[in-house]
Amino acid sequence: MASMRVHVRLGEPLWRQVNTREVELELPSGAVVGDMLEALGRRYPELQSYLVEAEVPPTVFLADAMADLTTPLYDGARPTLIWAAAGG
Amino acid sequence: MTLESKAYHMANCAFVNLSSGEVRLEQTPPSLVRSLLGGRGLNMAYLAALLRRAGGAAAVDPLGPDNPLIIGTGLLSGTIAPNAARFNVSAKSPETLGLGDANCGGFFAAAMRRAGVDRLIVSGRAERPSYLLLEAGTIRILPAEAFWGMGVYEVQQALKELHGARAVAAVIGPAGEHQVHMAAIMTGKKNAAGRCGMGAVMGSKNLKAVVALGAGKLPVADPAAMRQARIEQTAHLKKSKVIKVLGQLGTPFLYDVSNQLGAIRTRNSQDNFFEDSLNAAEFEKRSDKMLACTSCVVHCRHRNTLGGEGPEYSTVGLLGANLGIASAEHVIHLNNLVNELGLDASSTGSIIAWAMELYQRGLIDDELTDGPLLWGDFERVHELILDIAHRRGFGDLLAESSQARHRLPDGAQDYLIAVKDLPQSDPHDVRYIKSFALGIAVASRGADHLRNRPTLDILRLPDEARRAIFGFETSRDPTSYEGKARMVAWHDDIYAVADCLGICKFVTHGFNSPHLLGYEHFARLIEAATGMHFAEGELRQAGQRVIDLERLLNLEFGRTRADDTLPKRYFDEPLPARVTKGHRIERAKFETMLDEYYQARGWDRAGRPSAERLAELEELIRLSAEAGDGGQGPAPG
Repeated sequence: MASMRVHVRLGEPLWRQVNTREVELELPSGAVVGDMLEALGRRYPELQSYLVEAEVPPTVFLADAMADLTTPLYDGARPTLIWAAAGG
Repeated sequence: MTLESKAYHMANCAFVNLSSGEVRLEQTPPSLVRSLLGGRGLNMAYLAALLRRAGGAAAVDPLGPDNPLIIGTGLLSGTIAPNAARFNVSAKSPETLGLGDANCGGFFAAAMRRAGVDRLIVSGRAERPSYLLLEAGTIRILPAEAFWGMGVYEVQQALKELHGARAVAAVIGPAGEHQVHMAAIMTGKKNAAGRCGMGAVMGSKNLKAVVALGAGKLPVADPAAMRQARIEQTAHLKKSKVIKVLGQLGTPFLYDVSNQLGAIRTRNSQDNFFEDSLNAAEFEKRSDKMLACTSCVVHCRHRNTLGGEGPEYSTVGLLGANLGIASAEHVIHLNNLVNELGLDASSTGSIIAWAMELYQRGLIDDELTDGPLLWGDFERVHELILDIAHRRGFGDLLAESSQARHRLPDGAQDYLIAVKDLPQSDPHDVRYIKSFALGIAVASRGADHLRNRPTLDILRLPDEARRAIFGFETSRDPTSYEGKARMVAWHDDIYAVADCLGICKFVTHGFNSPHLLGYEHFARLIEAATGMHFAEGELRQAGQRVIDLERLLNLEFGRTRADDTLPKRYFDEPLPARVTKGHRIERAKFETMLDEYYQARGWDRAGRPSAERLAELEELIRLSAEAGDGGQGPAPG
């Protein structure tokens, strides 16, 4: 089965859970953003609760646009994961 | 004079006339407390009454003796309710010439209530520098010549040396003394009643400090119920990841969020992204402890290794990216400087950025600015902040904040990032998320996110989740205008209630998470603290009443629908890069959203509350006026 590589940038505070700001993932061809989050959670269990919890779901940017769980990925994609909140 | 502690909360209201030296101690009627709770809500009723008595809101000189300075604690401030540390300071604003109001944490609110005063209303002007000493329900006016000229932390240390370690003070620094329009009232090293120039009003009264010598615990109606509520609500809050992350990283972690999105205000909002060198990790390296306010369960405030506290995300953005300053260490220096001088970091960063763009565009030149004013020039910014605080040279002009536009060339106004003349408080560019844009446009005190920011809008929660939270339909798309007006109104109400109770937004439902403290939690705390029972709906109605009261005040200041707008740039210039690229606010859609907002609030198309509501508000203002009279006539100086 063909595969693709994506480079995921982890924003604040997600990168701290795994101590790296960028993760390379190999995903099956045709994978979507939801597949990427599942793969991340499998590789990094400590990140899992940030990826699935409803309190503050992660926001994914891809190619300068906001992505959904069903947004298709492609080989060489560089999605960014952030965790949106507000401050004073 | 001595004020007896009353059986109900928020009863003790002190009137101090610095011109005559009169101190009167009055009781706030229970019906007013029931209607407006405390904090911001009660402040507004007294402000409306006192401004009318002094000749009308529009006529009163904000830096004259008739402008009342109202320091009001929240209904739960000083109790063990989670994060109940806050107080509001209200007056006519010299920065905006409209509704002035600032909210502040730290330890002062609890100390003030434990000193027997729930609300302090200061009018007149002292002949010489003075400070107030609050202790066991007594208030003394004391000379402050020895403290005049001192910085914020310096004067607090001196007051502690004089009155003992339990003295907690709210003070002004040199900026307040010089009546800089963006001067803050400060407590501790960083906690600021920063917005709207309340420090200038305090300075105009020759009042350097209010010192509270609190003692004992604040009595509550049912201590066991209060303890149980505290335990359960703390446990509930500690399940939240947002609370955990704020406690670990403080608010600077939000810089990366806005920056990646392409929504960090950069070089006066000409750009929308900046350097990663201002990410939270850089501030973490220069922080040795996380600090908290009274009864806090979050601990979000950094103690920095350069001798101060902070910076917050807003300061990182506005004294960093917005000025083109990329060094975290420089930003911490500037943060500590504005705090020690007693300046509002948000207005200061916004106004200097405005001046830098005017210089960049050739609208002002070296002759006016006393030399080059270039993006990223840390030394110049440092010097300019000192000049603003002391009203020297070009700094004297910038000390006027938005009002400086009257002395600047035509066109300068177009580059001012302010609403109702209040510079925008946070560093998030609102052109992408339409609910954020509406929020700052309609916020009662001007461009401010702490009145109604619907942060949940960016989370793109599923339809059922949003429906469960708000109780109505909204678009999941943050760039859509649909349903956002009701969302803003929903946030208006709950944030107003939090401000009336003295509760921090960081634990308030909706500010960062749908899993924090909502009306049901607040109602339980109020009943335990005061014995007053509120249904959840009644609490929300109290919030709505406060918003309507502020609207009435704004109408009396001469504000109209035309003031519920945005900086010109947000309408006319699309964001230049990243996810937000191409987004701006469409005027026609904004006006429709504004119509919907007024409708959600029950106002007419001009933004006027209903006749029935206005009659109810008039009664509250009348009660406040009577309480202020104390049978002794008017209070103004």
